[in-house]
Amino acid sequence: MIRTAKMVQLSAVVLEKYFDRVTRELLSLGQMDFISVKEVSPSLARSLRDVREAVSSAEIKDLRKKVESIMAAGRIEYPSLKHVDIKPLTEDDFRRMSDEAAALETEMTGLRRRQQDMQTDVLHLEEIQKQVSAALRHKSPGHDNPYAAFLVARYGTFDGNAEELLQGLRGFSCALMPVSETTLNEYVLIHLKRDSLKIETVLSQTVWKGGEPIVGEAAVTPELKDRLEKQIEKTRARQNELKYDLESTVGKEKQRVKDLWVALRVGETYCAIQQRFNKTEKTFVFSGWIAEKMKKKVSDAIYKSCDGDCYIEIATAGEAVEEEGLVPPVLLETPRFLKPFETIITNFSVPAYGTINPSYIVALTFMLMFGLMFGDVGHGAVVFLAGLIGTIVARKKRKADYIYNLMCYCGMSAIFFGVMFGSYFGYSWLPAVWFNYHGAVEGHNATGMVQSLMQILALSTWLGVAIISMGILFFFYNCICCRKWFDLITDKSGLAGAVFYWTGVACAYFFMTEGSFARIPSWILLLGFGLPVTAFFVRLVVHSIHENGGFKITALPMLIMELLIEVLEVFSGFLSNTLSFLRVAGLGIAHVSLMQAFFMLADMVGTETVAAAVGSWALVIFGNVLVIALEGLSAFIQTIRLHYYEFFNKFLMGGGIAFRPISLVDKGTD
Amino acid sequence: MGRVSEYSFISANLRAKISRILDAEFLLKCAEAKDLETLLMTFKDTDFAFLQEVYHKTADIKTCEKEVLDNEIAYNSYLFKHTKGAVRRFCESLALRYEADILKDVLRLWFDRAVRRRNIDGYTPYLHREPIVHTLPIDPVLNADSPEAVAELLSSTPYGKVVAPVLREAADTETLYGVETAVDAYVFRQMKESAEKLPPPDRRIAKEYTGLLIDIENLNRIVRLKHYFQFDSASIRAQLLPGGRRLPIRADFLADGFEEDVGGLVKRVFPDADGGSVGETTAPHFDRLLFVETVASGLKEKQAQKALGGNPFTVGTVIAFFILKRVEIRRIITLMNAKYYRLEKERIKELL
Repeated sequence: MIRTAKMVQLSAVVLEKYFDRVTRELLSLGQMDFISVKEVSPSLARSLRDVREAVSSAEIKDLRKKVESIMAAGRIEYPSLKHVDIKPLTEDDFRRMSDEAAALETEMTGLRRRQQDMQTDVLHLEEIQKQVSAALRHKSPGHDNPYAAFLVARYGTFDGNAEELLQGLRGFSCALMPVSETTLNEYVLIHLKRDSLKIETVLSQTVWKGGEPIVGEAAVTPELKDRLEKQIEKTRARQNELKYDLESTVGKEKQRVKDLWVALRVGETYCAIQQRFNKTEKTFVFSGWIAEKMKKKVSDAIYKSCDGDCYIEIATAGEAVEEEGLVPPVLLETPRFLKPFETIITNFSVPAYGTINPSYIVALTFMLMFGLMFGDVGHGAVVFLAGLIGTIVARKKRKADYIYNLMCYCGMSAIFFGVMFGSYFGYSWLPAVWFNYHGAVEGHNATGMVQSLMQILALSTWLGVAIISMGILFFFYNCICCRKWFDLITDKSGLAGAVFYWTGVACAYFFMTEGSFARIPSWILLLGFGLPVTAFFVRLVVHSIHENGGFKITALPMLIMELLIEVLEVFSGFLSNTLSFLRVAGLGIAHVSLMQAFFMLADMVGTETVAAAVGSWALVIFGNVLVIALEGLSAFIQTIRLHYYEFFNKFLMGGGIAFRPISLVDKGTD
Repeated sequence: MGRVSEYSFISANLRAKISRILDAEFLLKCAEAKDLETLLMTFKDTDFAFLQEVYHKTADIKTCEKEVLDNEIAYNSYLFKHTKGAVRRFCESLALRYEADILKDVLRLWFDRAVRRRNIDGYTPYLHREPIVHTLPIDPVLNADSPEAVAELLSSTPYGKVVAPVLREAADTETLYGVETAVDAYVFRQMKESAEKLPPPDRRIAKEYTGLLIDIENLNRIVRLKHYFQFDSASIRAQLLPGGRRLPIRADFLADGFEEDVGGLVKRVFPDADGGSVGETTAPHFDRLLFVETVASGLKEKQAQKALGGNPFTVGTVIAFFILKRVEIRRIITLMNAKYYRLEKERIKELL
């Protein structure tokens, strides 16, 4: 668990008749990250053929996406893929599914067309409404109203089917409305003057009987505007009904659509596995990575599905690397509840195979740093609640929730440190368990082991030393795991760097506490700095020999120059990395100071009158909100920054390839 | 400190927005979608996720398109709000391109109605009517009866003087090309003038950008006039905009009877244009204007990357944002329409 999971390479040869059974087993286990056998063994490549599927995975994928768009239209949630029936898609199955999807699509197309017509109606009505509103807005007695001049109103009777008349008028921006609620066949038609001729033609082909058209201001009345608004509202409501119709039409077929999607998803993944197989005359060959702890389960499953009639070969990662030059994928076995911290690491880089999995430590250090910067029970509770709500909403919407999970962890940490510091929305309602942060910043009422600003700064510096030292120790561990002995000794994060750093820390400590290094024996100083510098030099020389194919004495001055730069870089790097942790104190102090500033402002407003008291509380609430939003974000960003630049840089050997087994829950086949 | 304080907020903000702009690679992947609804699903985690809901409600591609454009134009007012002085005026001049596009659309619709006697009601609801820099009298123009009336209505805007001399001729000859080029020329002039008023570091970047735009516009005109309208060299020269950085191009190309493929021309004018696409112009049925458009997009994107790579406290970030956002929106609209009209994937990829 402390390291990336051990992987093994499983290769198998199975008889043709077991092809489907083995595929089914591998898919239900979902544990294998396949490797191309042709690439692994180029010598075999000539005798291997690719597997031809009945239906290509690209076709299945296209159809699945189509079904997904139908699901989206019907607001159908994705079904679970646990305990599904795993079987391949035959050509007949696929054709039937395509027909089913096409039938649903056809049903939808009809509704979509009606929606589109309705949208055209809404837009035309809105167009008229815009003109009517503009005409009324520019109405001024005795003056020409240019906007009203665009409009024409026609009053008339129509004994036919109003829907038919509307159909004829669909291409024009116009509104056909009954004159009143009570009269059934009397209508007012309002349209744009520019369309007069064409509309007259349409009307003349119907049983419309009307008087002279009214043009200009006389055509526009506030009542007309109100009626128009109602008409638009009605049309929009019908448009919404159509949307729900579409949803319910697809929704009625919910189970059918879900089954379709599951079958396609399974078929697609099934195909994806079979594509990784290669064929010989009578057998199928495949190879892939699995976690070592799964090797028995996977090989047993393969044996069982072949009735023991198969050949399986398992090679350790080391053997696969050595013999076939493969790079094992990286599986971080972080428990589910710590996955958000794993994401922080993989966002930086996937650790190299066989190195440390720092998820557990990062969980601790992340919460520790955030809590120290943002320790307050009230503020932490708000962050926690926001994270919790975010998690619930994200899960409902099937979106990534790790950032909200992190917020929950950060909130919990802030609550814990709030109790330690005795801080509750900036107030000290309960005594501090560890030390009173507010007291230490203010310089009075300080209790506990830290009572001044300097001590807070010292605390965060020691935190930096501890984190950097931990990073160095992890680097040792990684070097030992990867057998990088030379790096272990000479790297700036290796033994040489560690001795250099710890000697520097000791010197700084004595200098700060006693004003000189006098108590450190000079031989310690000499060894503490001299040995690492020698190691750095050896490293430079070895690199130079590697690069130039031998040592040249002429390269010596350049190497000495490089050494000087290297020493300076290591020194300044360690110094800045350590001092960087002062931001933990800085953010913590800023957190407290901001709250104090708001409390002072609230005090200045006072509580003598009701208005003053309300103002004062409003200020305190505003201050809290501001601190939670700004300081919360700053503390979060700084915590990530300290991990990425100060901690991970010391040990994390990145560049690993994430383990991507083909399974039904994995989106890898996308 | 002045420049830092002037640009720190807007630059950081725009860079954050730029990081969310969808690149060609992503959109090419989207082109694999089977149909429009599947395409809209691929936008679910992007700034265009709202399109799925719009389509779900209206089933109207044009409404989707309008929403995308409105969204894009809304960024202009955001930029105006956060810039001031000469920089704001330059931003306004950049936004004039949107305004000019709208004006050209309005004039085309007016032309269709008044000159060609067509029903335009199916198009007018999709026009963007909110003012961008100037308030355009959109409805009065659409309803105007004569070119003179249009010019009179536009006289309340700077476009009045621009279109008045050419509108009557356009109506008589039944082509709006002259009006459109006059509007474009006005916009480019404004851009150049406002670029000149910027402080030195901004001026250089802005002039480089406007120069590129003018070059592209001129190239477009040459291809259009020479290959489609068979204009003679003198007439083409008269149509070219001044202020380009690499044009006027070689006299022999403009010479009557001289035939050269567009790829060759582009390569000469823009040696840094994408070589791969230039080579494709030898295809006999290659759509030359589309090719110019594609090369222009590439060049503009290069210009944007260059602007982003430099000093963050200059107008470069603003320009980069304008370029990249415009290119993105064009691609999104192309994609939606291509899927709606069921174009072949390969053709869509060409269009992108």
